[in-house]
Parts: sequence; structure tokens; C-alpha cells
Amino acid sequence: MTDSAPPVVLECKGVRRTYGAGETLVHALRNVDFQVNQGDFLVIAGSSGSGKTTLLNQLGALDVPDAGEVFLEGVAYSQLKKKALADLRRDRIGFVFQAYNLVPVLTALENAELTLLLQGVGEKARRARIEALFTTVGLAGKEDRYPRELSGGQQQRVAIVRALAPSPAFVLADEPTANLDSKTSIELIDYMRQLNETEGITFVFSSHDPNVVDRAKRLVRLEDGAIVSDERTEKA
Amino acid sequence: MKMAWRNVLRYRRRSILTSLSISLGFAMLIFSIGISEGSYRRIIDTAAKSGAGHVLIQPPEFDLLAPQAIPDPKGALKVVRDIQGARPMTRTQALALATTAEGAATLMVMGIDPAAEKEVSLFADALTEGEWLPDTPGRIPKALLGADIARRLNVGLGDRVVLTAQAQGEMSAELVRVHGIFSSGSEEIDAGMVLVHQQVVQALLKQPNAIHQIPILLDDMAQADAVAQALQKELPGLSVLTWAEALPEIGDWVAMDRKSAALMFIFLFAIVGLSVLNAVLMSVLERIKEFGVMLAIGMQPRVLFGTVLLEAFILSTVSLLLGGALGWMIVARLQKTGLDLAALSGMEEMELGGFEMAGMIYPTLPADRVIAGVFWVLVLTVSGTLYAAWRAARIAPVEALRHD
Repeated sequence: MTDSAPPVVLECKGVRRTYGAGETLVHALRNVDFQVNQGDFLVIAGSSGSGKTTLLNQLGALDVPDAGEVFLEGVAYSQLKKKALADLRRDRIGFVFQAYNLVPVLTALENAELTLLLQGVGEKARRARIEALFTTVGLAGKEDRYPRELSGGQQQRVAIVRALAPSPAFVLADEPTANLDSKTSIELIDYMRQLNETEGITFVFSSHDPNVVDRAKRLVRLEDGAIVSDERTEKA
Repeated sequence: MKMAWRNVLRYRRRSILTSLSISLGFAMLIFSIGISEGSYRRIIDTAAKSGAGHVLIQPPEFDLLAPQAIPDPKGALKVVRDIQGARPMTRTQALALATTAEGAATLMVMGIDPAAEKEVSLFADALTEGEWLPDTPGRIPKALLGADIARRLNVGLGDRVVLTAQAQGEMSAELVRVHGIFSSGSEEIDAGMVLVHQQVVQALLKQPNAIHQIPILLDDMAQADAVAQALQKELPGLSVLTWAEALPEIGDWVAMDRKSAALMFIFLFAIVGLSVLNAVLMSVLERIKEFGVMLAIGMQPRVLFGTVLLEAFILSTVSLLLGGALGWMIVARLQKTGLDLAALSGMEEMELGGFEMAGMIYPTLPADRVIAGVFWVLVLTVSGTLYAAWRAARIAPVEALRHD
């Protein structure tokens, strides 16, 4: 990093994570050291089982490493209690999951405003924020639809709005295009790339979808739980 | 709230079945409260109108073999008449030997004020032969005999009976004429009681104007405790008893029956609670991934816990309303038609403390019993879901997100 590099949002220091024991011991992450900078559009790529989701779980404060430390804006996750970690996930991290994971009994708008509701934001402010984001991601007019009434791409866009609504420090997206066709995948990743460029939102993806990998500004490759390459791409 | 409500509707069939079990259970509870309270009321009223009243005033340490008179009965009656919904009666009684040409028997001679008791007395309705006592005793006083004692003495209407009692160390006798025969349904009363004008007993005991007891009938028997307490304060020199104290066999039976009914319903609703637990636990297990997402995006486990409990609360409350409405409709209908428990059970006669229990029951629903029922049903059904809510709140998001 140079002095003019954007500030560090996330940092992993010597993160290790294993599963199982004895003969079934799996090293999911081996001494992972890396940083995510403000404005990154970073893709963690690797084959299935390379440790992508495990790393995202560590970055998202969803899991605890066996060794090492994860910092968000200089604060170590290990220093925070469960309630503070839940608040941190609510306020500072946006999550987009592979299977959209919307709440079936809530409408698109209600799903999207869920994090704001958890923050205690008033109804008017919530609605204004969500409607603006719905317009940005092309969902205007779909506010009252239930997830079952939306296509996969539309559901994932609702999930993106849910992740972006509280203005998080960064968005974690775990294989966000895995359940989408190629055209929808490209549309969706272009939306996110656009948000990254216009709003400066930091995105961290795990994906082996070439449509996602090709659009990364920075590409980190994982193999057997270790980072084997970390490069800024030409598109950045 | 919105999410909890929609989740209840989301598993519609399961929610309907669970709701039905709570509703029917609660309707049964309401019906049972109505029937049991109706039967308590029937037997207490029967006992009260037979002489004990809902509240009874008597001298302290009252002894039936040597009855003491109330020192200032007029003053006591005035205090009672000031209480709204309270109707006092006056009793003078003596243990006596009844003799006729055909035989003799020991019995209780109950002296009453015929004019005051005609409208409220159980015996007026129980007359099978003859007429109610005249307002004044007359030259040869009139008497009403229980059917069994009349049979034993082999007397009928118009026959004479001599009543002999001990009065202040001497034997005293009064001649009475049979004016009516009653069949109260109580073997004890029908075989051992004679009703006469109060002045007859006063003369027999040589206690002019003596009043031994003041039984009080209340428009609302549920006020018995409050009225007794108020009277005891006003009449410190007398003993004021509620029906449960004056008739301990009945009081104990009602208390015991209420407890055993409560126990039965706690068991019933523990079972209903398990079915609610089953329904909510199933819905929790089917939503593990969904809960994982909520926890991942920052929902506090206690909020998730509350949401799951709220689902159970909604399900229980709606079911209580439905079950309550059903139970109330059944009770309201039976309040008009009555329910002949004796006919239903095939039981012809059953007595408690000498009073008939079988017969037409008119159910009644005291508010405090219904409110207690609602409270316990909610506690048991919602607490049945505590485990499911705890499970939901304990889900580790990273594990839940991997769940299919």
C-alpha cells in the first residue's frame, strides 16, 4: 500500500479456522492475512471448498477464528460481546446471500427495510430510503410484491437493497449470482459495480462465476484455505 | 407483530388444527366452569333456603341442644336490612319429641316467620300435601311435617301431634295440627324436621320473643364473604358465618371440587400446551435458515425469542376468543333450558350434607373464574412454546445459513 491508498476498512491478521478433528481435520483457512480498502470491489475466487465462504463468515463476524484476528475499522471482533457483534452486523455490514434468503411472509419493501427496522429508524425515513434504493436497482413498483411473486434476480436485488439500506461500511456477497442465469447475473453485478463507483460502497464477493470475476477491481484467489494471489485488475 | 401474525397464517393448516385444540379445550373449560358453578349454586341455594342462609348470624358458640337467644334481634335485623340485596329471616328452634297415638320420634322443630319466608323458602315449593303455614299460629297451631316423619308417625293432614321439649329444666309441651307435608329431597330434613310458627317454639321453650338464628339470603351469593365480614364488624357480640362455615361439609366439598377441577384443567392444558409447542417447534425448525439470516443481519436473539413467543400468543389469543365464544354460547343456551345432570348420568338421587345434588342445573359463569381460566390457558399454552423460542434464539447464524 502507498500513502495515497484508500483507508483500510477490514483487516485479517493470521486468521486460521479448522473443522473436525484427527483424521477428519480440515484446514478451512490457513494464516490468512489481507486488507480490504474503502471502495474495493473485491472478489474472493477459488474452487469449491477453497475456503471462500469460511473467509466471508469471518469478515462478517458470523464465525470465530481458531487463531488470528479480524478488525473492522481498527476494532477487533474478539473484543466485542455477542450483542455488540449483532449491532455491528446490523449497522456496519451488509449481507447478500446466495439463496437471496428473503422472509417469505414479508413484502419486498418490508424485507428491504428489515435492517432499518431493527435499527429503530422511523417509518417515514425507512420508506424514503428504501424507495430511493428500489429506484436505483430498478425495483420501483415492486414494493408490495411477496418474494414468491418476484424472479430470482428481483429477489436478489431486494436482498441488495436490504444490505445497502443502513449504509454499511462494506457489503459481503456470498456467491450472489450462483442461482441466477447469466444475463441476470451480469445485470446484477453491473448494478453493484455501478453502486460501487457512484456511491463508493465497498463490496467483497465470494464467487467463481466468471461474470463476477471479470468485473472485479481486485481479485483474491484462495486455494486450500490460503491466499495464493491478490491482484488489482485492469478494470479497476 | 405483523411478521408474527403472518407467520401464524403461513402454516395455515397447522395453525388451524392447533387453534382447534385450544378452542375446544377452552370451550370445554368454560362449559365445565358453568356447570360446576351452577351445581354449586344450586346446592348452596338449596341449603341456604333450607335454613342456613348464605350468611348466618347466631350467638357465639351456638348449641342446638341448649339454644341461646340473640340478645338484640331487632338491632341485628336493622343492620342486615341496611345491606342491599340481603333478605334476613328469623329462626327459633328446639329439639323435641313428637308423639302421636301411633308412635313417637325425636325431631327438630323449626320456628319460622311464615309471612316472611313464604316467597323464599324451599319448603313452600316442596309441599306435596296441604298448605303453607298461616301468618299467625291460631288456637291450635299448624305444623308442616317432612314426608318421612309423617309416614313414621302415621299422620296426615288434620291429625294432631304433641311436641315435647325441655324448657329451663322443666318439660314443656305444645299441641300442633298437621297442615302440610313436604318432600325436600333431603332424607335428613324429610325424616327429622317440623316447621311451625316461631311463637310455637318460643312458647315450647318458654323463651318469649327469642330469636336463635338470623339466616340471610343474598341476591348474589358471591358476596357472602364480603357481607359476613361487614356484618361481623357491625355485630361484634355475635357470630357471623358464611354458608361455607355454617355448612362445612358443603364448603369443603365445593373447595375440594374446585381444586380437583383446576388440577384436571391444568393437565388438559398442559397437553394442549404440548400441541402448541409441537406446532411452533415445527415452524421454528422449518425456518432455521430464515432465523439464521435475521440473526446475521443483526436481529438480537431476544427479539427473535419474543417474535416466536408472540406467534404463540397470537395463536392462543385467537383460539381463546373462538373457544370462549363457543363455550359462552353453550352456557347461554343452557342457562335458558337447564341441564338435567341426573337424567344424563342415570343418577336418581345424590345428596351432600343432607341436600340433594341431582336435578336441573342452570350453569353460571363467574367473571373471576373465567378470567383465571383465560390466564392459565395463556400461561400454559405460551409457556409450552418457551422451548421453541429458546431454540430459535440459540441458533448460530453461521450454522443456520448452511441449513437446507
